[in-house]
Amino acid sequence: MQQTLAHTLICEESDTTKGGHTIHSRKKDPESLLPLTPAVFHILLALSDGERHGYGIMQEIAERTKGTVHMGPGTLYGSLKRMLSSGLIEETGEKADPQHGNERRRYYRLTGFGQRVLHAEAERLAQLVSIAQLKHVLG
Amino acid sequence: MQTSLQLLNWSQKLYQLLLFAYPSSFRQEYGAEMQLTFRDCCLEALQSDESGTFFRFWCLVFYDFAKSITVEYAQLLKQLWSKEQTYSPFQVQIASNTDIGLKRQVNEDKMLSVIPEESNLREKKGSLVVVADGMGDDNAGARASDLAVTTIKEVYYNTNQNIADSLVHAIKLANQKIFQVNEVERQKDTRTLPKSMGTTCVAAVIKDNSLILANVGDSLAYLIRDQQVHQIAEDHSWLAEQVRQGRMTAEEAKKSTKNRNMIIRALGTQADVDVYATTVDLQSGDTLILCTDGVHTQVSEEEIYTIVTQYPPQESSRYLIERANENGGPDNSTAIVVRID
Repeated sequence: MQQTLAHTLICEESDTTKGGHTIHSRKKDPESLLPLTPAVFHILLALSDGERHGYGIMQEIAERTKGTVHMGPGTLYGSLKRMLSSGLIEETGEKADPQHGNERRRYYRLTGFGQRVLHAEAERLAQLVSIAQLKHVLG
Repeated sequence: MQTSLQLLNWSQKLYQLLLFAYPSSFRQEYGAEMQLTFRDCCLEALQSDESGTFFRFWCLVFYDFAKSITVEYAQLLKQLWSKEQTYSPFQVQIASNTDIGLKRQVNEDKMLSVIPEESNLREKKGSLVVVADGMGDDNAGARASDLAVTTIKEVYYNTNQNIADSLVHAIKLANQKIFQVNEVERQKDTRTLPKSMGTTCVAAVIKDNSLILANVGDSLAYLIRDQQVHQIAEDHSWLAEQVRQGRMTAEEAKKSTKNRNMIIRALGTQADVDVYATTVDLQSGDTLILCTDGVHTQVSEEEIYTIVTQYPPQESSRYLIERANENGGPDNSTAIVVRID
């Protein structure tokens, strides 16, 4: 007697890379990580509109700051390592970037916690700027 | 052009040497990526029309090297110091149970738990628990889930990578093995429909203060902490995917009868599989539950919480299965309960 399948499988062709290695810090308060170092804040901002690989993050930072901020590979990957372990970002896997050769590169994206921390830091800085405005520091 | 190429080669060689100064764990994890990123930056500097760009680029590289290497060694020292201060592995109690359920002819679920006897291996690789829910005709599902749990155990304890990478690698190899068996089956007899098999799997490693979890399919894991149930695996059922994509609300998915048994990811269906993996810092008093859909579709999170917080692991795993059967027992059910103290 033929037994029916317990599950039906959809064999979808998919290039999604859900579930890279992520480190969750559960129930952590975003405020507990503030203030962020400039490197971490720049990386979070670079990843705020989508996943990027290391060089992509560097390019985004240089472009957005009109070349005034240059991050070297040591600072970048050291920061990424610590951001991964504190749950701010997660790795989404390896894939090639056709614009930059055929090598497979590791991509990173913000976690929900990372987004909350970025928001909290931006608010903190905005408050500081509004104080500076009140005191006419900004003219 | 020739000069630029020479400068690029020379720069890459010099940077490769600089990388050797970083702590070896950092170099192994990020060295290749750093070299790649360095090459891209170097090319960018060489292609710039502005004079002095290449010189400024190398100044930045040396500055970055000096700064980051100091930070990395300081972090390493801090880690070593805090490890010495806080190193206190938890006591781990593991219990598991499985049942055919009330409607099935065969139990296609498989489970496995390993606490290595050899202290070196235990310290290096930790304890491993795996649950798999096989699918396929004529007992093929049981074969697939068996192949999955045994391969994961074998490969995990014999892979010399970090914990998360070893676990993901072991699951990917299990996928390849099952896929290859399916391929051979397909080639054997092309006149009839091929008898393919597949399986879900959820695996966890408990090492020092960390829980490393990986899964494919709809066998799930829950962590009970601070009187709350956290689902820590990613549900690869069709319904959960609809919720993630925003096509259904969680409430609609709960009530939906459409594609209730359909999963979008499994081991053995394709040559490569995307494995979800996550790491959680453990706390004393945590309870981890790994189970197949035969349990979590029949026993609510509230019931799971009530059972595992009331009874020790051995009884908890038995009661979870009993409750799944009391609620209908439509599928095989398997549960592993791990208490961390």
